[in-house]
Amino acid sequence: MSAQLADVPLFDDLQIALLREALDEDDLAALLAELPQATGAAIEAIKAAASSADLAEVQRAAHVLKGSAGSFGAARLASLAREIELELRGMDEVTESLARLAAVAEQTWAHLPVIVGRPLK
Amino acid sequence: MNRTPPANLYLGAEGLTSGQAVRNARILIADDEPLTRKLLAGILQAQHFTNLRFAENGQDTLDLMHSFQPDLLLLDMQMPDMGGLEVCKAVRLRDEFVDVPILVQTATVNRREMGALFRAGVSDYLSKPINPAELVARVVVHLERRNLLRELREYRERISLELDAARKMQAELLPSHATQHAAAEAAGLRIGSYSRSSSEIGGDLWGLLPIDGGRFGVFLADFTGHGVTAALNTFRLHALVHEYKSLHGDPAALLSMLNERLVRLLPPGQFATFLYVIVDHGAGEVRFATAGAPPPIMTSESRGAVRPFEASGVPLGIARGVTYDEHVHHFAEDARLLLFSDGLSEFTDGTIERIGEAGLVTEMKVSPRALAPHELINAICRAAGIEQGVAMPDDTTIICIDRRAACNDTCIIKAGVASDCSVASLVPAQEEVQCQRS
Repeated sequence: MSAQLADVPLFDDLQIALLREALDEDDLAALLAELPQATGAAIEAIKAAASSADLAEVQRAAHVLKGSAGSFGAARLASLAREIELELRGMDEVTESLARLAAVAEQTWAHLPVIVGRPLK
Repeated sequence: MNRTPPANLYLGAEGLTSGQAVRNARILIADDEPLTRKLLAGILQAQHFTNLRFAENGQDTLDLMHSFQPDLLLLDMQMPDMGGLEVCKAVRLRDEFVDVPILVQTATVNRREMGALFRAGVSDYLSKPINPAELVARVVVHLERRNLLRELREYRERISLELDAARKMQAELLPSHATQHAAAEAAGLRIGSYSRSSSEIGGDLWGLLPIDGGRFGVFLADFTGHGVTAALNTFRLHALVHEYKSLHGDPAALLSMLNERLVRLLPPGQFATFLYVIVDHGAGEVRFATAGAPPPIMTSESRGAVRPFEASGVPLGIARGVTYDEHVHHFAEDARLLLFSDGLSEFTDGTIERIGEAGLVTEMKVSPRALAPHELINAICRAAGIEQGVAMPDDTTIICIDRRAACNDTCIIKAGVASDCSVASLVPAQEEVQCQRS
C-alpha cells in the first residue's frame, strides 16, 4: 500500500453519517451488506479486463468500483479504484494494483459489521 | 432495532402546494451498477418518491424514456453501451423530452467535459460520491421547475384561447363590411376604417349608427389603458350606445347621457374619450360633440384646405353633470373627414417622432387627392410609422369618410362584399383590403 493510500481512512465517517441521515438504518444495513458482492464484481471485471490486456476496460471497471465504493463511504477502496482509473500508466502496473485492490477490499468488507453495528446478514 | 425514520432532506417540499405533485413524479434512474441504482432509489423512496423505474444501459434508458415518459432522468455518465453524453443528445432530439430535466451523476469535474454536457442538454449534475441531501434537493428543484413551467404553459395556452375568443367577440362589435357598405351607399359616400389593438383586445371602439334617410352617426371611443379592463369597458359602452337610440340624432345629449352612466359604472381612474359625429349628406353638414377625443380633420378639395376641428370636452366617466357642446360644420361634396384615436397621432416605436395632429394635417395636405379612403389611411399609417407587424403601444382606430365623387376603382374586399370602392377597412384578423385601379 502506498503511503498516500494508507493515509486514506478505510471508511469516510462523513459519508456514512450522510447515508444514515438519508436512509432507514435497516435499509442502509441491507445495502451495505451488498457492498462486498458489488465491489467484488467490479474487481472481477478489472481482473478480466487485465487478463485481456484491455486497459480501457480496466479503467472503466475501476470507474464503476470508484463510484459504488465511494458512495457507500468505502474511502480507501474508492481511492485505490481512482488511482487505477486515472493514474495507471500501463498494463504492467495493473498486476500490482490488483493485489493491493484485493487486500483493501478484504479490509473494507471485514470492517462493514463495525459500520453497520451488527453482523451482516 | 433502530427504526428512526430518515431525515426530511428537503424540508421546503412539505410546505409547497406542488410537494405532492413533485413526489408523484416519474423518475428514471439509469445506472449500470445495481447497487448504485438501489442506493439512489433508497434515498428517493425514503423521501416518498415512489414512482421510480430503472435502466441498466443506454439503450434501456432510451427505451424507457418512451415507455415510462419520466418527469426526470437521473443518468450515469458511463454505461457500457453508451456514454451519458450520447444518451443525453439522443433524448433531447425528441420534442417531447426537450424540457425533461436530466441530472447526470459524475465524478468528473473537468470543465471542458462539463461544458459539453450542458451543451448536449444536461440540466444539472450530481457529484459523486452520492450526497443524499444534494440528490434530493436537485431532484426537487428540477421537478418543481418543470411543474411550474408546465403550469405556466397550460395557463398561457388557456389565456391565449380565451383572449382569442374575446378578440373575435370584440371584432364583432365593430361595423362589418356589410354595415359600412350599406351606410356608405345610403349616404352616397365612401368609408374607410382601420382598427388595431395593442394586444389581443383593446380599449378602442367605433361604430356606425344609421339614423334616417341616409343620415348616420359615427362614434369613436378610447378607454384608458389597454387589455382586458379597457376591452370590457368597450362592451359596456357598446351596450349603452345602443340603449340610447333615441339620442343618436343629438350628439351633445348622447354624450351627456353616456357620461352619466359611465360615471356610475367606472371606478376612479377609468374613463373614455368619445367622439360622436352625425354625417348628414342631405344637409351637407356634420354635427358632432366630443369628450376629450382628438379633433376630427376635414379636407376640402376645392379650397385645398385641411383643418382640424375644435375639440374640447370632459372625457366620459370622470364627473357627473357634464354638458357637451354640439358643433356643426359644412360637409361639402368635395370634403373628407378623418376621425382617429390618439393611438395614431401618438404612435411611436421609440425610434421615431410622434406624428401628432399637425403631422396628420400635413400628411393629408401632401397625399395625392385621388386616394380612396383606405388608401389615405394606409398613407397616414405609413407616415406615422405604423407598418404591418410593428408593435402597437396603444389601441388605434382611424376612420375616413369621403364625400367626393365615388371613384371608379375596382375594390377587392376580403369579406367578399362587392363594392364600388365605397367601403374599405382593415380590422384585426382580416386580410388587408386591396383596391386596384381598373
